[in-house]
Amino acid sequence: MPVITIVACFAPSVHGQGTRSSVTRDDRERWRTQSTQPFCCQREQFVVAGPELLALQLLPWYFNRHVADDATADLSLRSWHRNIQLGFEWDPNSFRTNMFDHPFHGNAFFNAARSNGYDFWESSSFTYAGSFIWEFFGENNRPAINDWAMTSIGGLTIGEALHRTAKMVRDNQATGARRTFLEFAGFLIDPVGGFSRALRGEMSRIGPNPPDRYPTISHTNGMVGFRSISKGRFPEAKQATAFGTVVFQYGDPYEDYAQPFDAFNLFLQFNTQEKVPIGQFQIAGVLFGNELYRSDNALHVFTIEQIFDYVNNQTYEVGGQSFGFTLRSRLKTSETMSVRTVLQPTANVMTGIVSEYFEILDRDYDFGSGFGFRAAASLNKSGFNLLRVGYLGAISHTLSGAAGNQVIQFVRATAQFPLRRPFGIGAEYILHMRDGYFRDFPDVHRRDSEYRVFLLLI
Amino acid sequence: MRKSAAIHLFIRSSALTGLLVFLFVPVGSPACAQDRGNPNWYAKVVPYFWFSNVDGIQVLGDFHLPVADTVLLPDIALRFETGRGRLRGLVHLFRSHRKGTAITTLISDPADSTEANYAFTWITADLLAAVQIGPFAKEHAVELYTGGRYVRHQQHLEFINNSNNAVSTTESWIDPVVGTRMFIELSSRFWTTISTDIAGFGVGSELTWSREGELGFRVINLVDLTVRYTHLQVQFDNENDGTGRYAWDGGVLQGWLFGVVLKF
Repeated sequence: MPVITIVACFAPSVHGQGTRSSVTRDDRERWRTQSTQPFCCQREQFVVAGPELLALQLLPWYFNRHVADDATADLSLRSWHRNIQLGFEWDPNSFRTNMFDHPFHGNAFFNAARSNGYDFWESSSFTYAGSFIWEFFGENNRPAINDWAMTSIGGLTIGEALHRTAKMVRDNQATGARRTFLEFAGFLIDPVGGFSRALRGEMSRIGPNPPDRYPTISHTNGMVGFRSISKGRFPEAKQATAFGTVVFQYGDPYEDYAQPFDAFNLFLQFNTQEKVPIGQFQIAGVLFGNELYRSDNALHVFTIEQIFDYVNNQTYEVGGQSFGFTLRSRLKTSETMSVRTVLQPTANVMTGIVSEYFEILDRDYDFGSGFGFRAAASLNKSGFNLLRVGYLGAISHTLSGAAGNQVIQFVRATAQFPLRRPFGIGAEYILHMRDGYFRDFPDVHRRDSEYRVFLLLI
Repeated sequence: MRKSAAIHLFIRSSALTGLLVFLFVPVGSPACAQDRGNPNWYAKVVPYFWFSNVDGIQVLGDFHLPVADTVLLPDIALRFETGRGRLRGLVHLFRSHRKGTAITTLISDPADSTEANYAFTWITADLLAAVQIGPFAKEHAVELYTGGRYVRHQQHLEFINNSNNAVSTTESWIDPVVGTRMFIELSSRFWTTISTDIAGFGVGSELTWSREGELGFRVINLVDLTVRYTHLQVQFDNENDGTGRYAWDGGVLQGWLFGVVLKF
């Protein structure tokens, strides 16, 4: 799926640049109703979304039961009764499974509704319900509360981001090989949405594109380079490795907040010779926004953002779902230069942090909940980030794992210089700090540094 | 076809048709308008019959007591809600009582274990104020809420092999609560709410974390039927020494609630 995401991130940037426009609910209604062969949907289509949600339960179960021969897929009335009776527990799955794979499963539940006319909030209920049903009735082991949380909250974050990205890629006016390619790309990004289009015959139908197909602005950039990171617990991993990142900005968080995720940022990092190839995946989408102050030289907005975090490398594992209460400021210092700042207290609904003292089956991390704070400032010249500093701190009280509190802090400083477009170069320093204060075990204090040099693709 | 079979078929098909019409044909007026920023005062009362389950390790003085009931026991709960415009006031009451037998171990000497009967009651009472954020929409509402949660635990232990030896304790505390709740109108008859909150922060409990999901069905405009699942996890330690210590390490209260929403 991440490979799909990287394709998607590059594809829309070609089309996505454009002048700012605002699309109203009326525009969407007009597009839906006035097309000669209207595209989905003039109203919510539960008769399609419901069976799709059911199919998304049955297909993984069928695969687990008859292909993977997984014992957890042996279902019976007795196993259902047992699950209903016992209720939730915390499961021992690996960090990647719980913090990355489950949210992607939730994304499918979300898009079963989103691709059939339901809006963001309505679709979120399908995600919660889909995950709940799977936990109680899709497997014979006891339902896991962490799975419900990660699949539902993470699923709607990823789901909305991929739904909007796929919408940019698909072109209802394209024909021939280009149409085939774009529909295929859209299907890879948002398979359930693609399936819904196929059911309705929209994959080959020619017609107008939705008025909100593109955000007001979008851009994609990437990095390729080398990183040096402190040696962790995984002997197969190397200290110096290559890496690549993709950053996709959809909409403008300073201006676009009429609907949830009118603006979001997607960050994806690949590492080589690491314990896992996907080292980092983050999505932050604006749920609500309100302009606080605007003048010729300054803009301050308050936004509530939904954040999905996943960091998995040899020195640390951190991931989770959080909500940020954000003060964004844009200060113009000259015609071409500006300073942007972000101050963001966060409520961390669920966080997974690597732990020295909790190892059960595949699990080597604590689940916790708590609060955090993010701050960032960047110096921009003509839209290009020359300098950027950032801080993230969070305290997580263990809900499942080694009892106690863990404090994580990241400090990041980046310098970038534009060369001949589309290239630039840059260097980055990241300091990771983790302090564990455990009730039954000695405290842990880790300091790990990471250095990066990279070629920037703007 | 025999006459009785025909009548039977007619009754069954009529019942099925009636059920389908009842389930899927929209009710006349907009429902749950109270959840959409109604400028007028409204109130809801929801009595629940609920099947609760308690899980966790309890510390009573020098005793470790695993309360791991795997039996859902019927109990009562009540929710009251009133509001106007963007503002809401919420009261939640939950009670769960159970009796059981468990093997207790001494913390000071884990090899020393004894069988004991216990009678445990867990009561929570929430008093919350909520504000709806974002635009008023037809189909959904998002609220942030805050307030207090009163928690009371009563435990009575009787050691089976020593009838003279019993331990009783009552512990209560108040947690500050912050959370969010989302209401979604799925159709003219079905609606759902999802809520989560975090409480405690060391004031009462170390941390309490809850999640709830509810599916409602509108029978008539003033009466809904609802099924709800609630999951509440508590970490608490009164940090007293000796026999006065009371603690829960990951104590979970969860279960299914079946209720009737009465709207005024």
